[in-house]
Amino acid sequence: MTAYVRLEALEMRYPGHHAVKDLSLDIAAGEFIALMGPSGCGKSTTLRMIAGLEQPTGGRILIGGEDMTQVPPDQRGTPMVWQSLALFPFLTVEDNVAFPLKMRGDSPAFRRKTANEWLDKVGLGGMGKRNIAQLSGGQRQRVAIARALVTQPSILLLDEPLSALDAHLRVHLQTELSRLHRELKITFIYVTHSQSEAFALADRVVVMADGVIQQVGAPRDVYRAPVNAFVAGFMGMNTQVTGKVAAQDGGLSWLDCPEGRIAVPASAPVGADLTFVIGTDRIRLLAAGETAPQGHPSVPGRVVGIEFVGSTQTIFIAADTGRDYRLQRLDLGDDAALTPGAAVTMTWDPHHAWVLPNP
Amino acid sequence: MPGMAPIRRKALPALLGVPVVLWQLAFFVLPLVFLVVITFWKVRNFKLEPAFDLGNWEKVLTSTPFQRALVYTGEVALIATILSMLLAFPAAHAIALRLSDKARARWIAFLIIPVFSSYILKVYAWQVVLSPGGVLNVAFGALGLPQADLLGGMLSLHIGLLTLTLPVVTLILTFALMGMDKTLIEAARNLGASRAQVLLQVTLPAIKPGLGLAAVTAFLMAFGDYASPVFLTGSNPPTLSILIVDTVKSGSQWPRASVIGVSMLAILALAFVLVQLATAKREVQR
Repeated sequence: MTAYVRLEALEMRYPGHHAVKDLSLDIAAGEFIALMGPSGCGKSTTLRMIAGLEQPTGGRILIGGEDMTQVPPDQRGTPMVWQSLALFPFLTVEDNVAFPLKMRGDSPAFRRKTANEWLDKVGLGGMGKRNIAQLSGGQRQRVAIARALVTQPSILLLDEPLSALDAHLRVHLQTELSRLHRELKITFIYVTHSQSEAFALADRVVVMADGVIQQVGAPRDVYRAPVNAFVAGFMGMNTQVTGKVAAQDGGLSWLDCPEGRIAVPASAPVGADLTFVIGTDRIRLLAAGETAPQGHPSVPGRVVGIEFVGSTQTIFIAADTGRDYRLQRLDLGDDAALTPGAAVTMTWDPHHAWVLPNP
Repeated sequence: MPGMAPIRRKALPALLGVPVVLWQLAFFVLPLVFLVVITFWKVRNFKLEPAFDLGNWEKVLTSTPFQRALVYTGEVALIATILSMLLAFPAAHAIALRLSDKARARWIAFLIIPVFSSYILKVYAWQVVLSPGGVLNVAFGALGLPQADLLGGMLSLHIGLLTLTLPVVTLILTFALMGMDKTLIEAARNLGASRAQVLLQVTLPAIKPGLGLAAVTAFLMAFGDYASPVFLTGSNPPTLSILIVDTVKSGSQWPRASVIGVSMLAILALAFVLVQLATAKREVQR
């Protein structure tokens, strides 16, 4: 991969707060990359450093092979879309979109023409003369996107651009952003705390915690193979089971843990400690009278509650060992027996368990 | 209170507002009406007599001293407004956008204190500093420099007026800048605006109502001021405020003084409305 944006050992220290620590990352031209993590993990600070709105206390930022670390923000060509949108309330829609063109000294005629072309592209044709206050939240978001793209940049930075919108609109604009990325073929760097947003949009996701990159990879890879407990937890796999390797059998190691003897896909020496997670969509409940297939675990517990998420449901189960499990499955309407307190038995295919490389 | 009847609960806030309304009626509206009424009265043997006489208006508005004083006062107020805006803006910008929260609070306190300390006292102090035998000239003498005629000109007048207007104007601009969305500045930089472009294309438009309020306040204060023209220019040339006092003193001409007073109020009201219209937020187009 040839890096278009290269972050080299970036550091950001504030008094009493080390926001970004030794962060290195290569981003390819035309890639859609999402920086994700909880608030305060350093993702927004990283984005702001790329834009030149924060001066890193160490390291370098290269864009297209050029060292941008000391270049002021107005000369970087790295437009950004803010969560608060930061539209100019004293300008019309058209003048907001034309603002970057005006700053670089384009003629009024060119500005008007280009701004209106972009308004057409984001579905706001004919709204140029309106005031920002007259637009809905979704329309304002489109103005902010058009304004950032009007100079035809090679990079677009997005800082939680959809977080302030309602769920319906968010999905709609996700599709829109995907389409723009496909058409423009430029690099999108997207900051979000939402796993679903990052997964829906990005070619690669970067999971951050405490100013440090935890894992970089395609959404599916990060989801199925988290490298550590933090990433697993961030992906919703909060149930992490640790045990000692008791025996080896082919590609499987048998662990002694509170839930019993459970097989995991790993080859580790007998006596080693391993921690595994199991995807919430990989756990299955045994039907009445059914026993787990040979070699599959069988973990008894009691239902704590059920949460409906549209077509899927999340079942919360407390195992008899006291550990909390979460199970996600299609809502098939067969859950009449799953009242709180009902006894259930969980099982899964040992090959679907994932042993954390760095627990 | 739990047992309170709903009607009383609604009426109470309105009732609490009544004293202020009464106060304003008694001590602002009524005197103003009286002032307007008096402009039509007559003076006989140094005594006021009710009448309906347009002569006062005619006499004052056509008199050369009034017209001269009007133009002069307007000029002085306009220059004072421009000077205080130019001096206050950079300071307000630094206080609102550059300082830490703690330092900002200190500077704001530093600006509020002069507003509540005696203006007359400060004008007297300037007189002492600027007068021919005053502090500055003594210092000049000690340094072997020639004596400067500092008192009694535009320089001393505007020093006095700035003492009055500068803290207030700086405070208004500081609050206006503090109230603006700082992300707009970042966004403008991010979208290719230089620092100068940010100031002209974003910051100033964003605080336009605040700029209008600051300017109109400076103008109001300078236009109606009495102390600085009296103590720092020796009432020469006279401003409208000085003309009012002179008119009353010379022959108890209360009606004519009232004509000047009402004219001043009308001009100030006009200036206020004009600035409001010019700086009001853009009307929502339907």
